[in-house]
Amino acid sequence: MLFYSSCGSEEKTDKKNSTTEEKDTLDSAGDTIVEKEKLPRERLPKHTGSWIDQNLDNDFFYSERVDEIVTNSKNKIAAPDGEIMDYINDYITAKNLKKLNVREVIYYALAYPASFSQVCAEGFYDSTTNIPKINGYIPFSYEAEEMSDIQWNEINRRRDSVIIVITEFMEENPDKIDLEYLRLLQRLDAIEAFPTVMATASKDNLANYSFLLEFMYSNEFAPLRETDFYDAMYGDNAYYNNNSVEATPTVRKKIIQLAKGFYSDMNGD
Amino acid sequence: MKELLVLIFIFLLFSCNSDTKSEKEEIPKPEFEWVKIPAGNYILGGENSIVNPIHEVKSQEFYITPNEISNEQFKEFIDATKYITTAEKYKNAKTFHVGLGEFEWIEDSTANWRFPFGEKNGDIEGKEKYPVTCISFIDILEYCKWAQVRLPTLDEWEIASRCGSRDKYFFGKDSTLLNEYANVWLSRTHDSLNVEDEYLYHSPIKTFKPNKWGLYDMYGNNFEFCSDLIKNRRDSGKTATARGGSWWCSKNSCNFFNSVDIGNVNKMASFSNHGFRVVKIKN
Repeated sequence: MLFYSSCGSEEKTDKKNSTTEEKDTLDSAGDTIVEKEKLPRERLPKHTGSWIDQNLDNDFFYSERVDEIVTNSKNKIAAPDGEIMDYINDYITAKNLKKLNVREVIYYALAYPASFSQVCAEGFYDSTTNIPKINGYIPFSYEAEEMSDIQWNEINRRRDSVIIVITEFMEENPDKIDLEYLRLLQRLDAIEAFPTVMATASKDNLANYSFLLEFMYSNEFAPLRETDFYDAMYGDNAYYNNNSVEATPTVRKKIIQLAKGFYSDMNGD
Repeated sequence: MKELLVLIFIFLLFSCNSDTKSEKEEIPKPEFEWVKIPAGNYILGGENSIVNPIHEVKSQEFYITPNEISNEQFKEFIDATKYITTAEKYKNAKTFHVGLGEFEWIEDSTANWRFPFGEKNGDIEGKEKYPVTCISFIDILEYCKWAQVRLPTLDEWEIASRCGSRDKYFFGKDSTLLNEYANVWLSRTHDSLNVEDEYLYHSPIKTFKPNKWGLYDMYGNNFEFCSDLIKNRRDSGKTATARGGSWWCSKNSCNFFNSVDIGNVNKMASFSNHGFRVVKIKN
């Protein structure tokens, strides 16, 4: 089964930006391949994208430039009840996105998602029982928004750089791993991220295990099917909000063991 | 000659007044079928549900439509008001086709309530009795204003869907009965079809069996918007709630076709599986 990992492979025209006036003040500073040692250290303020405060520290690669562009591009609309709201759209055109550096693109895509998600897509990472659990799927956790095709196309175009930047951040800030980083890596089909995700998986980063599991599941990794928690995760009665197993040390260790085997197989070791 | 001109002027003046008078005549508001939901104390919510924990509600009697609002009904509103929907204005609708990944919906600038799956996939001709879809919460609020009705609250929707049952489903615990009552996605994933699935997408209203209070499509067909938000949730002003699942929902994706779950969607979003039913406003 293919997960939601690719879409909008064609460049979209700026149909939705017809109502916005974009100030083209961007210098062309887009980089494609980023080398690790050249990455500057960034300030990481909080982002309040999630309403579930469970082990989520929503720091992003902040960009004042992106914030300014978005603020200047935002349109307002009035709902029938009089409420004034932001009109969610692509604040930055596809063309201008190419001029941002990779950190700015990541920040923009995750902090200002320009499209909408389905009603039932919001998943909840834990039940009310307060027992730490590992889900079979990375839950969605946001304000019913997601990246637009324009944002995704640029992220996908810079795939290698995005993976490098995010995994480096995760390695240096294991206490700040957000569901959205893992989801982004998942959409990019980032097998390269496996070592980082395994290394930073812990009882405080349970979503890492979900990432590993989903990858193995979608690639039909046979040893996963043989585990005693497979049915709870992916069996006939499992679904997105009901697919978890208690995160005991034994289970966590088992998942890492499987992931190592999977990663070796994928690398042809 | 002067008298003739005065007479002509007076004649024209009366003609204009009668035209104006007829324009001012009230356009009749739509009529709805209603189902009466009795007043009472109701236990709602689900065990272990984060968004909808078990709670007791004292409800007054109210009236709700037995069906999701249809294309025919929505068209009355559009014809009367010339309203332009969010999707038509902003070209931001999202649609679906078989083969997409789980929870993957695609942007389609040509999709709106007249072309729910995009222009290349046809319009609603011949589908007057299908539930209107590809409309946003904002569009629905405009409809309600015009029709002088309102959306149900989360609790009202649940009371109506449960029809007295305390099980997850209004028909009891046996989920295999779902297909008698609900148009949902029968395959395990969305990259394949189940040949038993008679309706790939929407079905006409009142196709499947109603619940015991005579309400159709409480599960499946379209997700149905409600007027209020999940309790104790931070209100960003951006989202609205919806319930009941849709033709897209499957047992192994969201499993939302029940009386417990509540979802959220951006108020401006127009998806090809969202719709609504309405409640009568008390005098």
